[in-house]
Amino acid sequence: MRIEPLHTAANVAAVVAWGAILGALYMVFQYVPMERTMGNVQRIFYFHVPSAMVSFLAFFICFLASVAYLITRRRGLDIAAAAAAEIGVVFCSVVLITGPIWAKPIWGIWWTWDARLTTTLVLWLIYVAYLMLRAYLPEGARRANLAAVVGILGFLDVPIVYMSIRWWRTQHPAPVIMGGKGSGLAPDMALTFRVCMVAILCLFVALLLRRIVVELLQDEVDHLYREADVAPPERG
Amino acid sequence: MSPDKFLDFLFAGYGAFWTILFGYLGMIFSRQRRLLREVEELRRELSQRKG
Repeated sequence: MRIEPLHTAANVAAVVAWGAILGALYMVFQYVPMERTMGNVQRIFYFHVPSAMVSFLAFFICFLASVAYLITRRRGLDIAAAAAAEIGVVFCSVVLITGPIWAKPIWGIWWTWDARLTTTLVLWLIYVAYLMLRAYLPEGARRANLAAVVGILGFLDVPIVYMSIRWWRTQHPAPVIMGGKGSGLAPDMALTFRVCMVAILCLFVALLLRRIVVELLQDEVDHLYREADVAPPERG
Repeated sequence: MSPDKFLDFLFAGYGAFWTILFGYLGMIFSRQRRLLREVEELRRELSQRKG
């Protein structure tokens, strides 16, 4: 896989993402009206929910790339799975940190072992384990195979996280997006949410491309060390 | 809780988002810089050996 076109694509995606994020921030802090019951803190919603959705997308890409890797054994798919999982963990961390910051003034507590919160924490732990597995096993087919299996099995938690607020009614609010009859947002809020969703999606694409570029560079470095017959330095 | 306190939480939420995002970007770009340097050094060494 050639690095230069991906490097250019990552730069273009980054410019688009920053533009979209500036637009999203304007919508969140200037355009959308304050929510009546929760006040200003509800504005966390516009980055919290898209981050959750994008983390699901990242884990789905990791799942698809892992399945495809086990079928084809192409290194590019292993790289894509690793990159998607790492960025999924980043966005899942955003969800797990912004959620309690929003919860404290509204629920009066930072955390509760509610179905949605617990399954999301489990999802985060699964993919942190995936990244640890990749970090501690020596590079090669064995690492890629094991990581692919964890990437596939770990994804089983995503539908559970998504359905948790539909199956169990606990502390976390019922879905307002795609929640069926009686759910939904006011038009201004829906528009702001869509803009934020696009912005976070653009950010995800930019990060994914950049992360793939870095992994390809790592492959090139490993190749050059082999060619030079020099032992690579220990990496912490 | 006062509305001012609500604002603190709002800024804490967005602060957390930016901290995580910039922390991750810093990690990615520092790794990219190190790898680019290594590529350059190794290529130079290989070309010196051949030359």
